[in-house]
Amino acid sequence: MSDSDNILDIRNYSLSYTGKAGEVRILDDINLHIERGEVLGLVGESGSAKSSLANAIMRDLTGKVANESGQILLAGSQIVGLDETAMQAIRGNRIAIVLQNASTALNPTMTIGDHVVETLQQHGRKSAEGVRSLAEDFLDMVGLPDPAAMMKRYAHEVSGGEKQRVVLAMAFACEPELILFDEPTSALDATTAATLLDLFIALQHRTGVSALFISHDLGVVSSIANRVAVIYGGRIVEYAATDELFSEPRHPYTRSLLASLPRPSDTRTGRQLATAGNLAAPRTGPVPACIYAGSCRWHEPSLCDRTAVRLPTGEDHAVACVKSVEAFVQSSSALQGSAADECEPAETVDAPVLALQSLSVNYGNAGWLNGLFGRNAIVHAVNDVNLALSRGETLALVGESGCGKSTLAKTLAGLVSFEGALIRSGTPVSAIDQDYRARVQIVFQNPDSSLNPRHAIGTILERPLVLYRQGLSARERRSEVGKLLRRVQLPEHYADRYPHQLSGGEKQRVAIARALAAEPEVIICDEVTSGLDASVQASITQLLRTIQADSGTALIFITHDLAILRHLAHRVAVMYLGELIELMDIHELDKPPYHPYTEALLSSSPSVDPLTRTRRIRLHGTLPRRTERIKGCAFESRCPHRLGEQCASERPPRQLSATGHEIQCHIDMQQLSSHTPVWRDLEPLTET
Amino acid sequence: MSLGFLLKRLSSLVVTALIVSIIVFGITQLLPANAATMILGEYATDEALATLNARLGLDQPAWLQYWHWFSGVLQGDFGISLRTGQAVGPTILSAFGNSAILAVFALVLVSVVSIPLGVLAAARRGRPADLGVSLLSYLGVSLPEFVLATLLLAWLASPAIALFPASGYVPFSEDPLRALHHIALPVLTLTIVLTAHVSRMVRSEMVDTLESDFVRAARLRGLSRKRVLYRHALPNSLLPAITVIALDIGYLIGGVIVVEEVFSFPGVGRQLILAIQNRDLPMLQAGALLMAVTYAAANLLADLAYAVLDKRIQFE
Repeated sequence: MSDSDNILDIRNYSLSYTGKAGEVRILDDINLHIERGEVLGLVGESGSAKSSLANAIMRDLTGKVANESGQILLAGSQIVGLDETAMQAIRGNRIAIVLQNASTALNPTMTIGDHVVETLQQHGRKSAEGVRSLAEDFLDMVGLPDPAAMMKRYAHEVSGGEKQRVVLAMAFACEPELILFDEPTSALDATTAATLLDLFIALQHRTGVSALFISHDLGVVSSIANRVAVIYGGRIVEYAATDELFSEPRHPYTRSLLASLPRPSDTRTGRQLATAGNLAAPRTGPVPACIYAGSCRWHEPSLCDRTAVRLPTGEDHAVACVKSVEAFVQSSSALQGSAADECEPAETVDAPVLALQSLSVNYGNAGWLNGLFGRNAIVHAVNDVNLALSRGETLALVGESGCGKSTLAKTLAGLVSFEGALIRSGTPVSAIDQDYRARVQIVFQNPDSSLNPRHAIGTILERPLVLYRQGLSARERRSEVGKLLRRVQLPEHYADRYPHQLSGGEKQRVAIARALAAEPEVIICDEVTSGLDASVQASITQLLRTIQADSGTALIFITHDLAILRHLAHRVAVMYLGELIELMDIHELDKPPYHPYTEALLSSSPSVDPLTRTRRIRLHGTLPRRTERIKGCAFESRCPHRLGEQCASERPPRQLSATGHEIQCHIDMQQLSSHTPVWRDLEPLTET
Repeated sequence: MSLGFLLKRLSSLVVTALIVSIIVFGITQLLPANAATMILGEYATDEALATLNARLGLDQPAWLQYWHWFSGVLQGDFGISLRTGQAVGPTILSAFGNSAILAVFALVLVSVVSIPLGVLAAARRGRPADLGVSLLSYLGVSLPEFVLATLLLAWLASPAIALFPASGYVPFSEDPLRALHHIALPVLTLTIVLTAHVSRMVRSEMVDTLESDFVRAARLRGLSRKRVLYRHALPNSLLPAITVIALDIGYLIGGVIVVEEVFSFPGVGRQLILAIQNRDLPMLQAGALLMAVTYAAANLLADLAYAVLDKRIQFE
């Protein structure tokens, strides 16, 4: 291949920062190229330095540079060492970047139009008079409705998906040669993310721009990239064409990433998720011969530590590993978990521990001024929800941001007041008291903010023992803390540690142990695995299943991630704008009928599954305002199967099948059953 | 800006003024001084006191007295000064005018000096310019204003230099140039004191804003350093500075007694001190009410400025 074909060429690039304890390796021995018109995916777990690579290309180094060497060539010319002024002419003009969080990427004091205009003007595109209409064209190009009106709006006046489109418009505005995407869809809802990915693919085809697409989500990358590079500990450990990498991963790290990723076909095949997490790569001290040696299950000192393991250059499928592919094949089934292992959760007992009867939660108050101006400021966060939870059951509560799932969680944990009835073990709950709180515990999404950083783990776990199990002596409490830690598979000496000394997954285990301390009947898990790497997520779900099997605790597992459900839940409840629109058994996830929204949600969840093909369903239309009182169906404005006027004017009926499958929709359940399934099996079950 | 937002804020201003008027009136009722005794002196006869009390309406119940006073205030009548026997209104308003001139000059100077200083310090965080600004701010904050005022007086108004007059005041309507000449030293003193506050506020807010995602995004779109600093970071860093400046307005009207004393400046502060020393209750009531309303109005202005700067605020 000739060099001129490459938009980006990174050669022997290394970067290290000065840390408190000396030099910290950030990126090491990077060799990568992106051809003209190519989309290169870059995947890795948190801490793999994938964002640092984007920063290095942008010459926006966040630390104090100790050492930097090698070349980053943009269309053949070196950009390492360029000063700020020289980089200003390149940033946004020749290389654009789309950052993760679009909601904070726009200046709240400037209109959207001004954002696009200033970018165009900075890089000398168009004179003052033509520039606004050009900006408008770009907003139109990214599919924003009514671009002229959009130009005058502020960031807070548009939705998250629209903001990401604006950011995309700015990235494309100066027709750059290369766009870096740093987790562009991670902060978005699945259905929004799916439409944005489609948009990017379409724009990429149209403009032929090259791109580096960084994500921790292998499913997203597989749908967009031509080639994929895998990064671990600041080193590229493998790269190959996308299909090849996902169907024939070679590096043990790549294999471990794929093995802990849930697939739609798991229910059929009984595949288990690998829960062995990867350790953080060593960043200081001597460089190990193989960067992955510390976490590699096939590590053989005599073979692997002989010479420095580098990524061979000039190959189409390159692997930084000295072992042959054959070495892994025999043991690959071990990594994937034996198919004989139950994929399904344990049996449930049919005795409701918690039941909700037409439960509603309203936020905000009318206020005399709002009344005066005829405005309605009340948000109906949860609207008329009926649910029952059995002992030993896991109920997954899914839906996108703002659907009311977290409000429902807080309500059940006694943190939010509600209307309707809450029934615990057959008796209506009149007040949320100590006894109720002991029986219903909650685990929050972010252990960084739910664990007091000033308290040792032992202290954190003792609190609920003091509160809810008052008979225990200090010595008994101490031993109980040890037991709790063992139950969440942490060593007992962790009791003396502080939260900041633990990894993200370990902290979440502590949060789960704290919930267990009260010996609850119900544990509400509010997005407990979001933000964690796939392998950690798999091990946390595995832990929850073990705990449930031991204690018969019922779980309410709240998530926006559908892929993990089949490894955990018995039933799935789908929420949309505060309404419970569907309730079904986990087995019913694989075939219609579905509520039209569930169908779109399932389709939007990206997956890497060689055994299944996902049918493409995308949502259009806008969400109604949350303060609006909806007369008909909440999903009516975006529904691809909208019947007609009745959807907007009449409340959809609650249809119940013989199996207990519940759908709130105007479309007849029979007819919903005839829809094409979201997932199509590509191969019969008899796997090779 | 929505009408509702404006109405809400305005009504809260009115309510504040009402509550303050009640408190001010109540406190003067509690003071161990009787206006008639003040006027007639310690040795007045009981009949004379009773007659005067009846004439001033002081024998009526407190709520009625309050009502008389308050309805007078609404018509611009603040009563008669017990010290001078003249109407309180014109006296306090003229003092207010003087204070306002001082405040306006000081505030304009403070804004012009402290905001760029704060921006400079934040943009060069940890470098000599930042340390210099920090040092100056600490000096300004820690130096008591009377020390600063005395130092400036001793230096710039000393016979050797005599750059500015040491004291006194000339109305702007008479001779604008001489008036400026006279207010220069008090304005300078106040500017130095307040610049320290405001520039530190701007700096710390700018430092946070400069680390926010949208500033990074702006930089990575290749925008110039200047544009990133002034168009993206600064407007988002001004809110706390506006809060401080609004509070400073209240301080400048009536709170700068020390500075007014040092420079013999006839502002609200001096007028109030005089009123307190002479137990001149109507003057005290008028002055306190005026200050409270100024504070409330300054905060209203700050709220409006928030809403203009940050379009999200009126929705909250």
